[in-house]
Amino acid sequence: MIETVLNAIIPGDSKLKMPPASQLDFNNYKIKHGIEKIEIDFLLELTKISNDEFFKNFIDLDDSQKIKALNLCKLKKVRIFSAFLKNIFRFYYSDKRVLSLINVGSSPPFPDGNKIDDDDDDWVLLIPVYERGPIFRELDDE
Amino acid sequence: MNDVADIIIIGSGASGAAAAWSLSRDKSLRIVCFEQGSLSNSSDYPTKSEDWELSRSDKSSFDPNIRKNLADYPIDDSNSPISIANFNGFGGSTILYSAHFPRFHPSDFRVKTLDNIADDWPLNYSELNPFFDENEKKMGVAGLVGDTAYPEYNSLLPPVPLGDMGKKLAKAFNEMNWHWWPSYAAINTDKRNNRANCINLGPCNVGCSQGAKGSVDVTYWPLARLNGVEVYTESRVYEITLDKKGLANGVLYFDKNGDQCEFKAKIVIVACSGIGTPRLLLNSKSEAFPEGLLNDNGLVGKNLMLHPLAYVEGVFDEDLKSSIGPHGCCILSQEFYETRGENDFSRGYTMQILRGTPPIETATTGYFMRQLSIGKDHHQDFKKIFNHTAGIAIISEDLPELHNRVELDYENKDLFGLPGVKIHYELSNNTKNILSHGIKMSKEIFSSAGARVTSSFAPVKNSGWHLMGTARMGSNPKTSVVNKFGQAHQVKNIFIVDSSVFVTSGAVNPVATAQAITLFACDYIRKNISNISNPL
Repeated sequence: MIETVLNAIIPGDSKLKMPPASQLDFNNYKIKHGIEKIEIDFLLELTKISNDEFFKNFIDLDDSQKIKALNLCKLKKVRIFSAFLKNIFRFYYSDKRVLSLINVGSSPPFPDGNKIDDDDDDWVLLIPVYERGPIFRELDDE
Repeated sequence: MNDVADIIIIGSGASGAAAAWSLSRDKSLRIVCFEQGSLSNSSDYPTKSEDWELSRSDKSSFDPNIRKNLADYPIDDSNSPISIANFNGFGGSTILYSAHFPRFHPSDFRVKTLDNIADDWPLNYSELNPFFDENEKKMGVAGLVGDTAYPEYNSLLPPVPLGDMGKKLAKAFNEMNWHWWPSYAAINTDKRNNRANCINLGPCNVGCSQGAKGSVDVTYWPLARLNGVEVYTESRVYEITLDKKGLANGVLYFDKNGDQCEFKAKIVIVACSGIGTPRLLLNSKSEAFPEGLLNDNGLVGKNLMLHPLAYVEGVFDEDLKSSIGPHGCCILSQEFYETRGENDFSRGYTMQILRGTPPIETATTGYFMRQLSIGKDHHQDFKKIFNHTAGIAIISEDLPELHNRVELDYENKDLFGLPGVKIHYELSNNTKNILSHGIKMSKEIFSSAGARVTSSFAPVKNSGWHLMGTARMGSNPKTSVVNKFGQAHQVKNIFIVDSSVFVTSGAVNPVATAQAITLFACDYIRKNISNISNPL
């Protein structure tokens, strides 16, 4: 079921060449960060909502029903939902492949760092500020 | 080795380090620094790995109640809208700070005279000026001289690059005819003092693995240790002791093994932050000071100031690569720093421009702020906000109030059975009005820059970095704990040199001013050492 849930939350996007979350190693993340209970609590709740509201298991819902079920879970059990979703984002957006695809810049260990272009006219921008003159309060005793 | 020092410094953070270097220039002195945390090793910083962002909610969290390092002590801030942020380790909170490094302004020291509120300081900007200069050289501060919001600076390293986002907002400030200036940043923008230059890694707040950020473990401490200062890490001072004459004669501490030990000293310098310093003083009870050391007037722990923040985030249509670069250092505006008659508040605020958030934070806050969906549009939504955002942090001037305070918490104790602390803090109406104004003006800036505002709120809960006022300085022993040199009114060989001594808070990050005050105090100690020291 977890693969179906991962794909419902973060499916792939062929246009942007982004992989679905299910293609990445969630199991490894889960063990490394000890979130088994968070996952189980969430899946139990999602299963209950799917059965109560749609009379089906989550994996048998169509795409729009899956999103509806997830949103219902957010409404009914916000803590359980938030804890799980935060971990899905942490898992997905710390993956090396994903980071290279979203133009995050140089990746750790950052051998070259990131370049931010300096323009010669950066400080020309300060001319209006400079022309206004001092704005701090002068004191008589200094 | 004989456990007697000329000077003991408690705390190895921003002020403890500056004190260690300043005093160690007299190599005849035996100086020992006690630090309850452990050594930081830059090769262990999380930025060595792709999942560095995860550490912010774990071992590199700035919330001690989340981080729960062995060195941390319980802080109950449930009675405060702002939670306390700090780091207990060698280098103190500078390990995790963003290195935004502006000075206080001349008016900050004269708020009573100028605005008839709070109190004037017993010292002024001119007296501190040479120590500001000295400190900026040692810490390696980047910026640009000529700022119209300050008296002249002498010299600075080249400023951190603005990036496309910084330039965009700078133009918006110009359109509004408002002040802005490149950030003052304790970041090596050139190779200097055996430290590498910044290469725009971005996550300064989990420790700078490049060593370009001026945390004191790489600025003051190598110099101080070269001069012979001894550092005892994982050694928790729990009491400053007094002799029969009423002078301090040393400290009691738990060593690495948890054994109770004593170390004698002729002078004791306290530099444990606006929370740690009152905690230690209040825990140092004696016949002479039954309510805690130096607390005869009941002021230790009172007047806590935290710089409540407001935050406004804007999203631009274009990809500005805004997440790249030192996160907290880009540009600042002090257009609304000084008191203005037309406002419904006294004093004012700084607008600190923050770069865009990293990927995990972008996705998480984007979702909960309804800017990003889950499901089929997730990636398109993410693409529209990642590297497209900027933040404005409004740093409000916090004024001293007796009811805002730090107390010992005997119900929550640290590993060694020492009491934690309880924070009692409320926002004043003046602060609320400052924050509302700051939010309104930030929205105007984003509008002028062509950005959509996606969130704005105050106060920011997890922002209690700036811990000030809990052992204030002053000329009158009835209304202050120490004099202008940080010297305790009641015990002449105890000095407090951290931001606890602040009389008011200004509206800028306090480190530059705290360290200048430390150097000013240590200059006094060096010149008067024979009169100050306990002969033991």
